[in-house]
Amino acid sequence: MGPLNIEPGKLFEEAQKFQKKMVAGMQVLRNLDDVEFGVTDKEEIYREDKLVVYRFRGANKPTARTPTLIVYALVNRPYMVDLQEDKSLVRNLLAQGEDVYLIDWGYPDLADRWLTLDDYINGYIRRSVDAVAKNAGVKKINLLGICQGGAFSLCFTAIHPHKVKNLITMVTPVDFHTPDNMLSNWTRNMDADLFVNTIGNVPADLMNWCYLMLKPMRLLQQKYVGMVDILDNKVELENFLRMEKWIFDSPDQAGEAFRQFMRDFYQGNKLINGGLRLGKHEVDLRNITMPVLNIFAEQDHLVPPDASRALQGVVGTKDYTQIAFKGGHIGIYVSGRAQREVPPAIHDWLRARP
Amino acid sequence: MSEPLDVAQWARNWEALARQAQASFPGNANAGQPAWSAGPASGNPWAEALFKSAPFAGGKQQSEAIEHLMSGAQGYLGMLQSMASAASGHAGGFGNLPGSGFLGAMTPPAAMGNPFAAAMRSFGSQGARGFEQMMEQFSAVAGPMFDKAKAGLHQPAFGHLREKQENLQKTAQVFIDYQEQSARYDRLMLKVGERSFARFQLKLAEREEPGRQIDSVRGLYDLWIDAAEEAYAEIALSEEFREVYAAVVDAQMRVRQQVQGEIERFCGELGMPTRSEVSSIGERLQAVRRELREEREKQDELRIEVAALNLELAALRSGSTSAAKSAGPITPVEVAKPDRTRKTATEKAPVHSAAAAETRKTAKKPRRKALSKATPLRRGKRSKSPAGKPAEVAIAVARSPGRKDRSAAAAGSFAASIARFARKSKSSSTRSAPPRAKPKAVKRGGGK
Repeated sequence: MGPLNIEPGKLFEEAQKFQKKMVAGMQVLRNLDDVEFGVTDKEEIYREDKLVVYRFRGANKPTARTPTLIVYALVNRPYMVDLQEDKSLVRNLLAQGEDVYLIDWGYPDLADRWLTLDDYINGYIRRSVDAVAKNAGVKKINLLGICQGGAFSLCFTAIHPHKVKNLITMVTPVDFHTPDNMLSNWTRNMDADLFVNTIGNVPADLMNWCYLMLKPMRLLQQKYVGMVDILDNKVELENFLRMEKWIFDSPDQAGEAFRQFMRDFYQGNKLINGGLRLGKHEVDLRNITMPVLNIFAEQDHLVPPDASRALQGVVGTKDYTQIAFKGGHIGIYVSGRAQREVPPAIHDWLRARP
Repeated sequence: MSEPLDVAQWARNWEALARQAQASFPGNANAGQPAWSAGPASGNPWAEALFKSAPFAGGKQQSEAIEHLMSGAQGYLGMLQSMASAASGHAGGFGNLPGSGFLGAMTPPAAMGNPFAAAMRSFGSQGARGFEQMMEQFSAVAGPMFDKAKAGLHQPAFGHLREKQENLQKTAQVFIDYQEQSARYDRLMLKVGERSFARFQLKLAEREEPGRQIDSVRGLYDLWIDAAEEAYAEIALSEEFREVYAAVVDAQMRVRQQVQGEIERFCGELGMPTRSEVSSIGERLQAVRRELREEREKQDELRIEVAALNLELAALRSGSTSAAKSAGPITPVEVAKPDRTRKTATEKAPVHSAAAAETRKTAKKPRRKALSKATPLRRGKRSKSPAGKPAEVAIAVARSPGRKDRSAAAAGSFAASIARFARKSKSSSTRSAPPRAKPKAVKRGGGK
């Protein structure tokens, strides 16, 4: 017996169904409005250059005494944490009583070409943290760093531990040289100086293409064949398009910061090996002595779980908690399971460390 | 387990169904003919027909999605078409095709396109497409010429056109290097294609058991994707890929850099500003902003310290030693910094801590009194000192008379604050003040 058991009628039926869905889907697509995102009310509390710090407003006043500042990655837009009503980490944290702030980095352009990691971490993040602390009337705040923003939060906390009460990292790369880290493998031998000196700011399209090439068949083909299944479902299609919008709505990367991130993190793995300097400061993760919660995704193709797990043992804290989430790099924010599991886990952990 | 097929009947049914399917695609010129007989094997008439049926205009997000959809669907439709071709070419239909025979007919890499091979050169942006086109044009026009002249690229250049000739040689060299590295990358991607296929065969073999057979084209397609991704990941994580990838990216960057250089030279001759110049200005601007911000923050810190010193001084003058102690040394951490986004530094009360606020309350009047006693010189310094307020307060403190009889503890604390302040003042003045202002402030403050 062969591996295939496809009846001709069924093949015909499948082809026709696909074709009908495609044609009907075109009609639905034509009539769809542009999708909206970022659903929670927010107010601006600090602005500097292209950066804006927002405070989110929930239905009720926060019960938490210490505010939590979300530090998102530079490589994507931060509205992923507040994508839509039923897919919002922010909304769920507010519902738990947390006081949530967020850094929106904006879209860097040529004026930002020479921003360094020191400018981002000891400059923008430090002043954002001060602004949040001032706004909340506290001396220390909680930091919630996501992906690259998690790596930044680790650096910031190691340099300015007196400003951070609790540190939470989500899908954060710490060890950049785990054998399953594809991005790291690709960048390891590249000439970072030649790259940045040539292209300046790294275009968003190039970054996106690199991410797509991590799983090219799945992300460039299979995903869109799967899209046909939902073409006649307006709600599902809107969800799909909203995600598409987020995936491809990426900022360019400030050249100088990118150079340093590639050289010191991806190539030198200095976050874990030591020797990382940001301006006048040396980053020593042993300075992180406050409670740390590290959340990572078990099926993460961008930041392999082992890259995040490495945090345990390199930070100086004695209060370290680790949560492995069953999902992927994006699913940890938008999946149904994530909505049920992640915000309560964060809230419970914070509530035990007021 | 399925019953053996009536092959002749199956073939007739299939032919009829396929005609129906083909006819149902709107705008299909070959309606009535089976899709796989409509054109050369390399084409994908089903996909083409579908794309013709779905023109999508407009600049909304959907148009991008539909572009991806069309591109992605090609693979699946290609597989559908391949299967149909395979089935019609074999009397037994594909239900009875052995795995290898079916695979030979289907040739998934060709049907679905090889996304790996084109990946490096088509980064997806318009700019990158321009680069790809540039390389294609270069290959077509200059390629053969450079092949012949390759040996001569390292020959030294002479005469008044020496620089231009050398530059042309370099340009040719980086183009050739890129082509070579690109070919290495393509070969590696070809290996991915081969391994994908081998892995696909293995996966199909695993599905020969009853109950695990694949009963839809979609199921088959998903299996092919799994195989391709696994094969790709294996190579993409290899040391060989690391080396080849870096080489091709570096080579592409050298080509871009060389072309940019040429364009800049051309622009320079026309008197137009270049990207390098803009970038250079940007670098300087960023350095100045950094320096300015650093100075501002230092001034903020000094301003806070001045406020603290004023409080201590006022408390000492009013004779309230305990108040002076409670005012204590106020560190910048305890005091919120002025928010430049909303109000200027002078508009804001700098002291926010509860203890300091309490001290301010008790010492408010004497502090005002102390300030009102400032000499004209002090006032002058206040507005003119390039070092800003620190210098001004240092002088004011140095001139405050008749306070030598304070308790030793309070005087010690105050003296320590003054010394600390003087050090900061000195370092600040060294950076920002003209040479004459610095020694004046330090000398007076420190002299006391």
